[in-house]
Amino acid sequence: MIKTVLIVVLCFCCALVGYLISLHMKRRKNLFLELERAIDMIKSEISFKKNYLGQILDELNLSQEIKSLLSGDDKKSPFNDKEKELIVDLFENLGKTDLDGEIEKLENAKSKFSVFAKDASAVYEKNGKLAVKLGLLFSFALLIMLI
Amino acid sequence: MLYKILPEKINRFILSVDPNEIMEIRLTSSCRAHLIADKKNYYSNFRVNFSDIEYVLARVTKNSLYAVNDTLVKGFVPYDNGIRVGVAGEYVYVDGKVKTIKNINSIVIRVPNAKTGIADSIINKIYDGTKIKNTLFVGPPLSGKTTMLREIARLLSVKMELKVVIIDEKNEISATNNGTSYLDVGESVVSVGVNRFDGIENAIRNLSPQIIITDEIYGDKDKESVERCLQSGVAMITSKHGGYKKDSITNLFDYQIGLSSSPVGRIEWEIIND
Repeated sequence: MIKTVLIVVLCFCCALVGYLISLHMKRRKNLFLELERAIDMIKSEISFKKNYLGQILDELNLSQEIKSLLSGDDKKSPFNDKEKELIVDLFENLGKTDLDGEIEKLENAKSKFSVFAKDASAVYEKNGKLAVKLGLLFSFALLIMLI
Repeated sequence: MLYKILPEKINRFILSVDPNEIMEIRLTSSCRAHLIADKKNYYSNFRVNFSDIEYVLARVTKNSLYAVNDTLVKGFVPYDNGIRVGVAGEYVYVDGKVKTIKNINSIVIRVPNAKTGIADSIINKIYDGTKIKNTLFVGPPLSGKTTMLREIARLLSVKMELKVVIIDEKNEISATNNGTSYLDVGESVVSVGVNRFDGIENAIRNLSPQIIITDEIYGDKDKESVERCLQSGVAMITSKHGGYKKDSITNLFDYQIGLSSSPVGRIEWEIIND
């Protein structure tokens, strides 16, 4: 009985790992898209209303992952070091120049995030479903071997 | 409000005086902090450094330089509750126009004070129940010109029930923040941050004022605005830096009042042109 339960748990874990890897890829893609949208919003808020940055960021309602990264807690961040540096740099340096400078800075960052978003999207399309399938396949293989 | 924008050591220094009497705080890199409260001068026993100035600027601009650059190029940054921060540094020109000010090493924080009753002796001369006199207050800095305008706006809009519009370019008269005036301007309509020329033009066309109140006029463009206002049948009450000097601007006013710097709002001279 215990053996059966352990086998089921093990198989479930294998499938779960595959699913989580796929989820991580999807999350990365979505976060980059969110950053792109955030930049568009910031751009329109500062160029049209010239609202203060604090107010704009409050209204943006950024994901917890991005908020944690900006507050210095990057343990659960799905970004790599280069991406983290870019995101933190952008938000740390916002508000330090005039309107033209800010727009230029935001457009620069957006073009970089677009590339990251495309890459993350391609990786997800290519490997996301594969990871789920491999997880399931591996769990079935394990199941057969152990039984 | 002031404590939020100042570094700890400067906060400790200004704690020595009554916060309601603070008129001005002058901070210059490598110099002592200078506090003016109730017309008395106080100096710190430490020197201000460049990072103190940066600290204040970051808070005053709310880390959003782009939002205040339009006023920064004119040498000041407006802050909440009518506090105005004058700045001095290196001006950056692009195509002959001031693009920004960099390496700001001096700031002068001016704190507005509301003084009710300051205009009681002149309000009936400005408006006798039939005609509103176009009035000009003249005086040196810290002589209470803005305080006087604020009090007159309050009296004319509440006591005399006149339609008053304030064109508050530097947000010193009304201290408006998020649509609320923090200093008492009675029932006046307030336009904040607008340049005087556009503000007066828009007010005449759209707000049907009887009186327009604005602060610190100077130069030909402001003269043009005053003329436009008077030609439209709207009275103008305003102020101007300096002492008595007859010029093309002063000629436009029926009533000129000279204010002295000590005590605030003391009337030194009056000229009535009938």
